[in-house]
Amino acid sequence: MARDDLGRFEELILMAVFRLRGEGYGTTIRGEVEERAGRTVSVGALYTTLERLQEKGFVTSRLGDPTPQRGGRAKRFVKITGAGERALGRSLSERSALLAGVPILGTAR
Amino acid sequence: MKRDDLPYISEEMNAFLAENWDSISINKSDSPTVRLLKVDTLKTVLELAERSRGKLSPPQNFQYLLQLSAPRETHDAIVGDLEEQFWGVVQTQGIRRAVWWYRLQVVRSLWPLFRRNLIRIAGLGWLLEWMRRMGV
Repeated sequence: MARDDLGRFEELILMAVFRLRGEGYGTTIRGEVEERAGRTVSVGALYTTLERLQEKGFVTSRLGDPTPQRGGRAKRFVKITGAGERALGRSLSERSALLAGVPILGTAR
Repeated sequence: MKRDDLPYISEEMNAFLAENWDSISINKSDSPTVRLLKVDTLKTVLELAERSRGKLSPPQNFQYLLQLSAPRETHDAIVGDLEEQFWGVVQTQGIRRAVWWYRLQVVRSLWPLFRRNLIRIAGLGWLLEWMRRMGV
């Protein structure tokens, strides 16, 4: 896999980060993936994936203010970068191209 | 619900419950109206317990385990996220379930964090690639 390619799970996480428009952090990103993709994500898997995406230059992160609900710990807000948007767009268009003309899986008789 | 279902309440609240448990706990003979009143009372007790959570916290040993496993740069965010969600689960499902939920979340997170640490320590980038290809 080339360095700027996205794995399936990375694509899911990056999509959730994109949807949350820079206001996403661990809890909301997990919620977004669970709600929309119906897939449960462990906090460990999420953060290792975010770290990998950050190393690839697809996301950046910043620390918020500590809150009492979090035991005085800060949120880490994640934002998609231009390179991340391009990688996501490329990954999605490749998939669309492969699916073009193919009946939706599970509906063909 | 038994009193054991409320292990993270303050000492004052515990004393209050000990004194009033018979009138708060739900019995089979209670009418629907009385049951509703008792459920409301229990909800209030849980809310009060949550408000006094300066003395309360998620399971400490599991939290420590998570802190040990998580990378230094992100362990505050990881532990904070789980703690935030823990209190949400307390409100919706009760304390006992929230404690089990927390333990499960930590256990599920250990493998990805351990794998990441292993790869970092050994510097084995190729191992990550191989594991991804093998779908591990």
